[in-house]
Amino acid sequence: MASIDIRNLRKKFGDLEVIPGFSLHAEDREFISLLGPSGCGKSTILRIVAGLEELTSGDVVIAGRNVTALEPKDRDIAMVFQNYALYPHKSVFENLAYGLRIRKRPEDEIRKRVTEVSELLQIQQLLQRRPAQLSGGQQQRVAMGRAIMREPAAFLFDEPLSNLDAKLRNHMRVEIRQLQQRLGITTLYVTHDQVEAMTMSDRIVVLNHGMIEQIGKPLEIYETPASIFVATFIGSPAMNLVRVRTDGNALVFPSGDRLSVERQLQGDVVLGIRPERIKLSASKSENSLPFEIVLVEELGAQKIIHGRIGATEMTVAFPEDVPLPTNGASVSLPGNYLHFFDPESGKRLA
Amino acid sequence: MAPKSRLYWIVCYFILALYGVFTLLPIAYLVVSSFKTQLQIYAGVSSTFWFTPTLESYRFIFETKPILHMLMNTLIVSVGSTVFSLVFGTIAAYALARYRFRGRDDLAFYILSIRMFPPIVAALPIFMIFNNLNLLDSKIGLIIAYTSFNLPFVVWMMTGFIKAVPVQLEEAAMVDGQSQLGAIRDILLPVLRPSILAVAIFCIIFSWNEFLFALILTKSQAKTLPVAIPEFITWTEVGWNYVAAAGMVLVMPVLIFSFLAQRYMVRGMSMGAIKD
Repeated sequence: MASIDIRNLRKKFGDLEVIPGFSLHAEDREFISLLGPSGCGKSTILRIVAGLEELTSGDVVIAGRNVTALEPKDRDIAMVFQNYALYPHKSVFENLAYGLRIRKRPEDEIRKRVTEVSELLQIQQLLQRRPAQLSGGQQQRVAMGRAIMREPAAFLFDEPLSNLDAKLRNHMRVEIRQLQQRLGITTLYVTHDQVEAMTMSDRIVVLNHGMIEQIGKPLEIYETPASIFVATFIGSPAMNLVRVRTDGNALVFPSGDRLSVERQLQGDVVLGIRPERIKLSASKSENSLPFEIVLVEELGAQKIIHGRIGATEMTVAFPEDVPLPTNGASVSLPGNYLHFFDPESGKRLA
Repeated sequence: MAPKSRLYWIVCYFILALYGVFTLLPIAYLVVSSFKTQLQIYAGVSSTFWFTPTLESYRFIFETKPILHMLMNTLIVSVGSTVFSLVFGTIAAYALARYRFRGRDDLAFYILSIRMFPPIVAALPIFMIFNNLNLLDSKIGLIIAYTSFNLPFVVWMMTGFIKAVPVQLEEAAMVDGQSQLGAIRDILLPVLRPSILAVAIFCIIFSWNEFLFALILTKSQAKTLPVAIPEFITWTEVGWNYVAAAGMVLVMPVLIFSFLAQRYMVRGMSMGAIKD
């Protein structure tokens, strides 16, 4: 059982508090992504778990053992860095073997293990090369290999795919996830890429300024974002957000257009709806709003349509194989896909 | 970019050749002078390169002065001060490159500024201190003096080199199970090896050529070769041929050494140039 427990973690750099209190429990075998914009403290949290950064207060418990005061070498973790950090003066074989060599394991065990790992990652033919002679994808594999050599209690990934091109990134995403499931090692994965977080994780932690905005399963976070920040960070194209006035059961758009909803709301609210949930049609029906198309982006599988309801800008994702209405389009916003947020706090209205 | 014209290259090579002559002529003059007699030296321009070579000057200098002893002193002091400078300088550079602390940049500049003030300013105080500590005319004294001048250079250069090595390499080693010191030994130092070599070469050459401190701080036991050379110019004769022969003995080892190590020297200089 190798769960990871982070309790009341706080981190100050001088007078600047970058993590004002962070707690997280990762179950054994769980894959958790720490997702957030750059500077949100996600890498700092990972480095604290690894023991590479000192914490101001709090506890880190890995596999039931409080490792807060331990050196990185005694924490039984493995880490994959953004720049891979392969030892440039050592061959791939020696890069993989290094951790076991430090532990003074017998030579034949090291050879056996390097063979296993290199076969698993299909890098057998690269063992004699130096890191500089490898492509980005191959370096990434070697870095992965080095992490799994020792069968650690936990994997820590620090944006491991951000130096790869898009195609390779998609491929490695799947590979890392498969590998993690196969090995069943508890994983913390830091990324700023919402697609990586959505596709790979059991749970996602969305971070902003060192604070947790939301923790949940990927679809939970997509379907019921806890705040405006989460709503805009998850999903592409980003969720449409419009500040509207409420009038009984109706939402009043800045243009004066009215949309009746089933909920009773008070005062001003921020209305959110994902571009892919908006229905665009040629005919005007009841409870639909007039929509002026400004620009169409062709993506192949779908079209992204930028347009306006009055002066309010809206983005609509539209299937590629349906012809666009030529004149007089209108949109309807299905009630069960509407999100409401408090305009002041940005929090979701229950 | 359009290919360069023939004329461009002719002019280029002409200028380079001129520069080559400018820098090599003194050395060529030293070489030929060391194989001449005193008479041949004063014989005029026409016989500069046309004469019967003789080893007379070399025989004379080795017979009249303990040249080998002084050469050995030069070697011991150069290597000694280089080792000390590298060990302490690299440790200091590691701290400056890897840790954030109050006044770090000021400290780095202060260390460099030691290199900027003229050595003669420090000569008298060092002489007095060494006199009190009984370090005058000792090799260890000279090693200490040279180390104090080489250290700022080593710290400055090595700070740049260490900064250029991603800290993640050491961190990866630490996560792999190594201590911080172990990570430095296993990962950082091997990666830095060419840089350390480049810096070492510059230190050795500085100490090898040093004249002022060797003149002031040594008398006989620890005397280095550069100090002995001018002694061939006396009240009674100006022995240019002896000066040249002793000069050759001093220059040759370092010339051969630099030739073998030029790859690292170029690397050292260009790395220093692109340092952020």
